[in-house]
Amino acid sequence: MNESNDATTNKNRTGRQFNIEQEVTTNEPKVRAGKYFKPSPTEQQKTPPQSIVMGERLPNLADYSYLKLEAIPIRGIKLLAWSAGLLMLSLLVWDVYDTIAAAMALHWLAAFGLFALATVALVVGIITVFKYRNDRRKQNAYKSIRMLAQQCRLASSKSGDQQLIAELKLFYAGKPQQALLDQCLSSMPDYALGHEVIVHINDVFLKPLDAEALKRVTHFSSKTGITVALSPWAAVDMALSLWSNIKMIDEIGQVYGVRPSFINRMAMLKNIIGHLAVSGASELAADQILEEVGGASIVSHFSVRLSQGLGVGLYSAKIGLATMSVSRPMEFIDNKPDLKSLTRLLVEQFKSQFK
Amino acid sequence: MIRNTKDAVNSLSKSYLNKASKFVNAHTEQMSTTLQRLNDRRICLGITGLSQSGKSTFVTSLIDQLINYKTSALSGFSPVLEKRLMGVKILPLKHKKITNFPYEVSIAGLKQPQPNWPSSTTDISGCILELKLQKAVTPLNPFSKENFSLFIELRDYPGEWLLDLPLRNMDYARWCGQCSAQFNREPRKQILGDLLLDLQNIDPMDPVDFKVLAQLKTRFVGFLEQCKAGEHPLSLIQPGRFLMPGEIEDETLLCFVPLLKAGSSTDGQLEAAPENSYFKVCEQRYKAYIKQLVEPFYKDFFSGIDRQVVLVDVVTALNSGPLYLDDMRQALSNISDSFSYGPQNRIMQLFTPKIDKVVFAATKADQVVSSDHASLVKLLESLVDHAYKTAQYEGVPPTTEAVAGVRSSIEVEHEGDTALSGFDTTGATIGYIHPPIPAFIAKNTVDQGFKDWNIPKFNPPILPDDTQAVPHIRIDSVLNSLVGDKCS
Repeated sequence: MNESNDATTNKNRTGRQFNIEQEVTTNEPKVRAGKYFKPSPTEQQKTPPQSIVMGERLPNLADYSYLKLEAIPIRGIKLLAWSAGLLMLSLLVWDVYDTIAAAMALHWLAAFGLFALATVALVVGIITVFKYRNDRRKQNAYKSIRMLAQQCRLASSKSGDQQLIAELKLFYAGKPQQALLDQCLSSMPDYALGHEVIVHINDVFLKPLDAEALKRVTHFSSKTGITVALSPWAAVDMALSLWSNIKMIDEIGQVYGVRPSFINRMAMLKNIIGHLAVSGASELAADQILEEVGGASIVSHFSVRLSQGLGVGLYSAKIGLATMSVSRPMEFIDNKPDLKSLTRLLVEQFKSQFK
Repeated sequence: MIRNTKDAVNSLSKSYLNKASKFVNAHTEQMSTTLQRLNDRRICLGITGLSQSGKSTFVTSLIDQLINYKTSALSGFSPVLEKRLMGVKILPLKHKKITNFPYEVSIAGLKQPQPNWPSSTTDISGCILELKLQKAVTPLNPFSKENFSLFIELRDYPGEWLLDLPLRNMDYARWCGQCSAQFNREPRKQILGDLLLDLQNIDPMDPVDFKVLAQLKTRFVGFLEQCKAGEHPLSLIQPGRFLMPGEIEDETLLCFVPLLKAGSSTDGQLEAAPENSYFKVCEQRYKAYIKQLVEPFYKDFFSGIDRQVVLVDVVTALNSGPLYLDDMRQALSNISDSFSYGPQNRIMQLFTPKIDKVVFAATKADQVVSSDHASLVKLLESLVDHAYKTAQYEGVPPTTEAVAGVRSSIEVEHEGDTALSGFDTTGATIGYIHPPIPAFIAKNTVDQGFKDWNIPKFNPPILPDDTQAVPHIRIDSVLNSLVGDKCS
């Protein structure tokens, strides 16, 4: 077989200093350059190639990077849950009926009271379900706003713009942002189409909200950082930063019109985790940013606790920025806030606090 | 009197019985299909991919691997690994509008002494694979030897038609606006040449001159053909039927062009346009195009999909450069909105089907060395980012893989580098070393290594006999991800 086993060798790198102006030669392998060649008789394909199957990089060469195990769902578990739920419901109805019947034997007034109570519970239950569904519908409007905004940026169409505006109005109906949105829409030029509509909404409606959200991110992240720096117990640090971050997520969501509820919070947390995972590689490492703002001297001057506090504050700011990205009804067009600009603010606040 | 009444009752009952028997005959097939779906023994696989992404080769190879499961390399497909696959049969789809998938012709072409690739698809075709499987041994019944059949519906179609799906949610004025934005950017601007100016000069409110419209349409089709068949093919080519019409009775459905000036008029002005204006005539034909061609295609083909494999020819897009990569990214993002993903129970799946498993596959992986397959998959993930995130958001975590329906090259060591050796399109032997495949391409740049370099195309390998399955790359992995869980 001609196929090669390209085993890679890992050499342990040791630290060293060098002058960057001198030419440096390394033993690193050269990047292969593309070229065609006429295969020699030994390189020619004389027999058909072998298949490469799952878990192989070449025939007979294992590649464990492809290894994955899927969860096998237990069949019938949903049916079990549904039938158990139905059984519980039937028993409940049966029990309520039995209780009312027993009360009826006692006195009709007692039966009526129990019946009224059961009716109130049922009505309240239905209203709660209805409200929950309504909330989900509004959250879905939020999803379609993002999609429509994306489409409007790509192509100009009056009907598309109107659909976007209608969805925005639906999402912000009855919220404090409604007045700001109405003001923004009334000042929109009548010739605005597609991208122009997006830019107008971004500049007039969203930028003030961005400024407010950024203010809250700075407030919460510096508060978290300072609290961690002052607190002597690690367990308290964790609890405080968790509580503070959840509160920050709620508050930023509120700025952009996401009502604070358990379900919305969970949905946002899911998106934030996804966003952090995606943006993690592209963000600069915190220590690198610290160096850029003169952090090396700060770290040498501050105690270990203070440095830890600053680190936690920075991570909190990162979560805040991710929350802004996922809860903003449209993606940032320009001036997307980054960790670098927030770092300066945070470091300044730390300096002033611990002078 | 009594006899007459008896006769009348007899004839009436006979007529009812005949009608009932006709009804039962007509619906037995449908009922049996529904029962199989309810029993989790029938699934529809949507093989999705843009034009030239390798759908026909993929389907041909997939069928070949399964039919020759005893000799093919399918170790990643659990029923083969557990030796529970007892046999595979290919059955016709029995659908009025869908012809049989030409498996015999395609595989004969691949296995002949001078092999050639399956020809491009020009119309919808499909088939059913019946997998006879032995039930997996369970703790409740360790002696179980029961067999069952799993029916897998496969369908192939021209990739050009896929790009018509986003038009379903786009009105004519919006499509014109989108075309205007695209045509004013490279590379389309250069390909359009004078046609751009001619399309821009048409006032949508002017009375239509059908002769001029027909001429413009012919030139527009020429432009679309150039987009597809140029040295660097584009992906986002609409309307797809202009290139691959299929069977069409009314040719006027295909006689409209985008009016680039329509974007500058308000909706009110466009609505008030005279009935015989360019805008109204083109809009009417556009609507008829969607209603008579696109909607039925979507309904017949895509609305019933249970699981999906999206094939993407990353290598060709990489060869063409960043503009073409972006174009492919845009095309894939547009079509992904036409599919609904999410977990669903079997009863609801009969009424509102959703895709509960999706595999994104970078095809033609045999054109790059195997150590770069991981980078190829990373690049694929960045190209299908929108669809990937949509599926993930809906609770369907996608799988990505680098595959080849037919592996046409071998790896050799040439002057210290890993190289590929095979036969080029003329049948001559060819070897090449390609620059490393980048795992990620930043916006508006292309990897330096690929700037002046192209990965060549291979001919299929020459197989010594036609009883062996064609060599492949990770078809078993795709099969296992898509139907592995249904085989137990």
